[in-house]
Amino acid sequence: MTATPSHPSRPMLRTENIHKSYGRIEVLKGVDLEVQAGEVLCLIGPSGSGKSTFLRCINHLETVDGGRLWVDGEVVGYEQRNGRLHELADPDICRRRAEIGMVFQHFNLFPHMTVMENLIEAPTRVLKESKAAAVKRAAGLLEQVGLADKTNAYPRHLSGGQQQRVAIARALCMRPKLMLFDEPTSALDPELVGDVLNVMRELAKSGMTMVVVTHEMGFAKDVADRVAFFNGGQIVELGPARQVITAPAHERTKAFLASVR
Amino acid sequence: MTTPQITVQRVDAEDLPVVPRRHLGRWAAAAVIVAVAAVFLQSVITNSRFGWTTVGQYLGQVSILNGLLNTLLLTVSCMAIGIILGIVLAIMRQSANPILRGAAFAYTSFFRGTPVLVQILFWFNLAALYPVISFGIPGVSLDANALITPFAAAILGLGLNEAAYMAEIVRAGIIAVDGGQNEAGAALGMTKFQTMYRVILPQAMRVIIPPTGNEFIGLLKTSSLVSVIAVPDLLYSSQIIYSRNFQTIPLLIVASIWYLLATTILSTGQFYIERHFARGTKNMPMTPLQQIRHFFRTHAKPLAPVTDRKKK
Repeated sequence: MTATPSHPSRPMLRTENIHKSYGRIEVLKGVDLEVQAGEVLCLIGPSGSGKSTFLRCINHLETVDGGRLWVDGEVVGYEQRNGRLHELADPDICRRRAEIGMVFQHFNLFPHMTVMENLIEAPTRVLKESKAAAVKRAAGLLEQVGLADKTNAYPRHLSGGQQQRVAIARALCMRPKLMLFDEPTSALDPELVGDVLNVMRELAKSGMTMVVVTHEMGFAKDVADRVAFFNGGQIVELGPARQVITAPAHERTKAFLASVR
Repeated sequence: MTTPQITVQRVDAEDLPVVPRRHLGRWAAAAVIVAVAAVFLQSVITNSRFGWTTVGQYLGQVSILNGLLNTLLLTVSCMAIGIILGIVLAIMRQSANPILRGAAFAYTSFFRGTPVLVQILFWFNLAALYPVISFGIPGVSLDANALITPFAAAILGLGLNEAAYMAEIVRAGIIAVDGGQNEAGAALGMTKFQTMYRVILPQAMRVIIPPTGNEFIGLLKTSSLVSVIAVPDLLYSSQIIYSRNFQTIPLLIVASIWYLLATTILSTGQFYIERHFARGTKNMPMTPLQQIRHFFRTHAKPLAPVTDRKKK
């Protein structure tokens, strides 16, 4: 699990003035951000502030209406030709998405496949790896997330926490350069949150570049390098994690942190 | 204040036999049904007009078996057309392009909105509408009368009609799959086709299979409509025989027995396909063997404690 970018000085993720609207409602009003390789960034903020939408724009699950977005130096979803951005064809979008792992709030495991089948589906079909190689790596990842004994279980026989750990392993099995987490613990029973956060903590330690939308302020404070506070479709405050969470500068951040505590 | 004395009568469950409730109403209803069945069976055996010897004589006759083969061939090929075209139409209905969506909608409306018998007759008489078929390609010129044989007309009529119904069934199945599954596939870098084929359709199958089994059985019987355009299917083969020997009832029974047998086999197949696609869900249906075991087990075994959900 190394996260070395192809070019050392280039940020792993860079966005410029990202705009996104649903009909008349403007969800993102110009988001600028840079995330360095190996950095962990947490996005916090009230619901409806655009943080999840922003995360989904990074791997082109949502198209952007304006601005630009680079992952490891490549424009996501588009290609620059003759001074214009052309939306990429499906296979090209898929190739870039394959380099970005994503973990969802509701796990979204494939219920008709066993845990092992969930893990090796994309490596064998998208990366065209041999089954043996994929199974070997998948087994190692399941060991890492503490679920080596669940290899042949179906997702519905697992608890929410176990499902989310499988989902993380599934994303890692693609050897991503960047991992996106969309409120990974919001749908879990409180007692199961810890296991998932521990896996994410280990992942951060291993040097993975991570962007995490979360409501777990403790996690953000301890694990993130920086925290960005979203409000009304913009980043209101961005700074070192401990500083933003313990001593926020902006009034709106203070109010939000007071309300979640 | 005296503390109230609560006497708890302790019973040792193992010492006391359990007496099940008696269901008098059920027993009465069962008796009535058995009586009616006995009367019916008696008439079937004693009424010579059923012509059981004639039935036995024609059941394995070559022209009847040929008819059965034609019926099966017709059903399987029309269902194949229906399923493939149905999947294409269902995916078209989900398209962002309004023309694709509209075309699929128009197709379904037209073929569901007109009787299948009319459609069969239409295809059969296509030569009256287009004597020469060129598909708009220069140099291609086919005689419609030679191209549209009765069998071809039957396959077109039943298959294209079936596609309209299958499209709706497949669409219902696709809609029933959680939207997060599409996103999960996309986020892993799978193409839309891979996601549809590997993730969405296998899950949609759980919703698609039961009505498809219904359609299959329905089609097997509806295919008897082609007797009107003289396709020698099971019904038409029987009709040819009884128009000669006037043994109408026995030959209709012959046809019915074969239809019943074929539908029974199809239902069995449907059961096992449903079971296959139920993996990973909680309602895994029991096989007949398991059902027999279950039937003879008078008391349910105590459930094993659920240990695997607990965290270690």
